[in-house]
Amino acid sequence: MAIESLLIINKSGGLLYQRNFIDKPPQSQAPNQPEPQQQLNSNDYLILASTLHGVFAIASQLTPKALQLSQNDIDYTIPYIPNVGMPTNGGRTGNGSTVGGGSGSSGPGSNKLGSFKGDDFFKDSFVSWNKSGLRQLCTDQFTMFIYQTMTGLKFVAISTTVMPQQKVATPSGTDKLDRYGNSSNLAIQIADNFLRKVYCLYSDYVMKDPFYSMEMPIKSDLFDKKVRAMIKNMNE
Amino acid sequence: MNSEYDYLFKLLLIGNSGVGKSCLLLRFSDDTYTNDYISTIGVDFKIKTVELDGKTVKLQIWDTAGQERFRTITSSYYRGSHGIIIVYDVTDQDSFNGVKMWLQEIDRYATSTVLKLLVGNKCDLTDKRVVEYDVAKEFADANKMPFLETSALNSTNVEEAFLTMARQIKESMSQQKMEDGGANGGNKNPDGGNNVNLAGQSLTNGGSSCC
Repeated sequence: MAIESLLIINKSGGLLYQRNFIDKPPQSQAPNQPEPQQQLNSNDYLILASTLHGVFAIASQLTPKALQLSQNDIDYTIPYIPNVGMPTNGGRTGNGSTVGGGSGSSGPGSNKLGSFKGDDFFKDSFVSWNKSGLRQLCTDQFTMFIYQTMTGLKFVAISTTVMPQQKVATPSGTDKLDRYGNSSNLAIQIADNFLRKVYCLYSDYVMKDPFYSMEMPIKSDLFDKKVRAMIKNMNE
Repeated sequence: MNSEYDYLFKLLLIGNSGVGKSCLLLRFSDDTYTNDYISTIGVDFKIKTVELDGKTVKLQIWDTAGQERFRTITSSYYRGSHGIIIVYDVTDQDSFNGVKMWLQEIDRYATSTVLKLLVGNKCDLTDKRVVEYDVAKEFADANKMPFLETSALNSTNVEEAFLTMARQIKESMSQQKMEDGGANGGNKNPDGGNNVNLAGQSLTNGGSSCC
């Protein structure tokens, strides 16, 4: 799964962080698409983030009554998927030296991304706090995944992965439909795992930055570097 | 890339329908004016970049819909805003009466430290005026908020209204930061009530901060 863009939106709808990770690819597959529409400036992203915040608020209120009543029966646990955004083993040692620049530890382990809990952050399944509101948005061009923390911070990943339609007419029958359903489920879980890891990075590198002022744009180089490393690993 | 600015302030424009919130904002952000009345749906955003004390500040102004039917949505936009501008129309007594209701909304949904500003719009229409300056000024003083009369048509005071707000937010933020630092360093006063008092002072003393 390739992550194209990452946004962090604070609880009041302000954009804290936005990066694009895929430069306009030279092997652009759609030549009929006009080029200029690709460029969004920082103001556009601010508006996008706040609009998303509004849509999220509206979506929370749109939750059908039946669903609200059966809220307790729904399992919001997201299974832990190992090695999301971790460097792929074998032949990646050369890459590691550029990636793990911040950590002082020596040896081949320096390219490990992780928290004080271990190399791969928290090795448990976790509960999504995003119980009402938007969790993903599927279009023909991209898929957007949203992970909301308990404090209302929203992590948004835009992926180039296009989710297969659940109701696609497949001549081969239910077998194929089943596989499609599973694969999109897996992508959602990977995205949730990824976004939770970004949350871990946020806690480690933004919240512990003494020069960071709350609810303001994130300007931490270290955080930026770690996120880039993780996304680079995922996109490979 | 979002590293091109240091601060992002959230300002909110509220007030009855048709008082000229969107026009005021259009004058401030694009320096244009339109006579057409287009009702805002939900919320609209405008962003203006200003320089304050050598820092680049982006003012993101949330222009909310005044119409009653959007009320349920607009209330969710109050959260975390740094400043709220209440707009009324000097030619419309109802819109001025509505200010009280908007203040209640602020008390209910916004943080208590939010900065408020009362703006009487359309002050160019002198012959149609029904809300006198003194009346509004008295009301604003009673509610401890600054007051300005503006005109989006001939751009009187528009710039001032927004920039005063931005400066106040910046001041109260840096002051808050200093107090936070002091509290952390001293750590002798774990009394929560004391902290609240200090924050209250910082708002009223905003103008007198040095440097």
